[in-house]
Amino acid sequence: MIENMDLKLEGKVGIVTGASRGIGREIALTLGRYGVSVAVNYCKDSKSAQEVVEKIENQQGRAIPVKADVSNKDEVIQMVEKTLHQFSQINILVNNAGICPFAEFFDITEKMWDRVLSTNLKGAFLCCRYVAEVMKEQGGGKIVNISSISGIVGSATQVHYCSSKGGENMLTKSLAIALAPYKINVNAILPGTVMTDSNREYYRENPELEEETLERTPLKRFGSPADIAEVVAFLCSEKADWITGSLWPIDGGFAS
Amino acid sequence: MKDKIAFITGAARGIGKVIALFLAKEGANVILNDIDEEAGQKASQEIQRKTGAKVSFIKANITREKEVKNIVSVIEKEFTNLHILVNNAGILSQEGIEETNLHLWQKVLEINLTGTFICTKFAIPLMKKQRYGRIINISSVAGECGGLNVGVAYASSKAGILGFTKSLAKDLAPFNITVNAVAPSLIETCMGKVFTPQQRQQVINQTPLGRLGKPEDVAFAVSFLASEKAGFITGEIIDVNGGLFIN
Repeated sequence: MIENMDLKLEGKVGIVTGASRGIGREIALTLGRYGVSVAVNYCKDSKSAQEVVEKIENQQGRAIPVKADVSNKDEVIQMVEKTLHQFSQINILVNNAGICPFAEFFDITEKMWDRVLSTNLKGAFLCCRYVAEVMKEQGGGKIVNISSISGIVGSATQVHYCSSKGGENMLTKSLAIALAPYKINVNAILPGTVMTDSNREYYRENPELEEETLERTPLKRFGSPADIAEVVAFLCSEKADWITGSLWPIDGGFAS
Repeated sequence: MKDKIAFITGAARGIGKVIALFLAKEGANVILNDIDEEAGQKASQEIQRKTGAKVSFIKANITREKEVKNIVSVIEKEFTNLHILVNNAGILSQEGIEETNLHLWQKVLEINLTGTFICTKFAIPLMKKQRYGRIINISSVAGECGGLNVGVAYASSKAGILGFTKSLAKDLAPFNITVNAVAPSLIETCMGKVFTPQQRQQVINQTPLGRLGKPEDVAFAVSFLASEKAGFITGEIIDVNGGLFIN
């Protein structure tokens, strides 16, 4: 990277949910590189989270792993407390934790629906709810929700996922207005297809879907976690102080 | 952005000047354009002094094909390449439909929309050749939701830029040229000074973050879009409006 656009993120503290792998991992590493102390949240995979923490520490950053199921209120509150205990403040929240199952509509069970909605939407709400309280006390903060292009473009095999992401977009817009008086900016990033652990298998089994997606993407490639992480860092910086309530599709032109 | 070549229209003052300054700060060689030669030369000297970057000024009326062609050939001769084009030049109108005569309508559309088209058209061959480019068009929140205190011609021209941006993004993606628009709300510039204190207050009251924008707010977003980091963003409208219009 040849840029020197100084984001002035040194000394900030951020929570990145679902940061043990995929896009969240890259966001945690990127923020760490910019000098943010990172709470690396994970739900199950403590080993991978620990690796992310070590990688950040190896690049002279500060990080801790924090276990929490974001759809569980008590665990979210504990995550906030643990982060505060360790780093004394929270300036950045990146709601990235999410699940992305594919299923035909008539195969979607009530249980599956609830699981997707609670992780993707309720999880983002709970984290916003309890982190924003801290930010309000501190006099400001930045929240970035990792939503999806599926929040504005429907898909036959992801009815539950698309619904959760549409909800996350409205959470972003409404919260931006609700939290503006406290100098808390709330924006969402809407990635197009980024190949990660959560969808690689599905695309491998359905090569025609991969072809179809690339066909519809003007830049003719999938996104990389780095494409997303750099935008998150920008939105978390003071350079984006005037941007709030905004949805940023990062999709190679897919939805334009 | 080191050694990238950037061309910014309407850069003698206001948002365009700050964009040029920021790109120069990032290490780009910048070429400023304006119809106001005196202010343009002054801006370019100031940016050179502040950044040490290679800064040039070219006077031209962007609505004239011949003059724009000439700019591009000067750029090709002096710099060989062009990586970044910021279509920023524009004028404001405040008249409603009753007061907008055909002459005013055509003038606003010509500068804001046709000027953007002409600059882009002649800049593209240089970008295609190197299979790299960043085009950033300055639109307006008025193009998305209609004007609060601005006229129909202005809002229409800025909405036109949005359609232009999206079509162009699809056209140019195969050449690794990204095209995006930035849509600011009322920014504190000399253009913004035409608004009455009451009109300004009305905008502030409707803006969740409770202030008017600064040229820097827009220039930061443009610098980001112009950087290599934004390589997967194309065809997008980036709102920089303090929450005034949440799309």
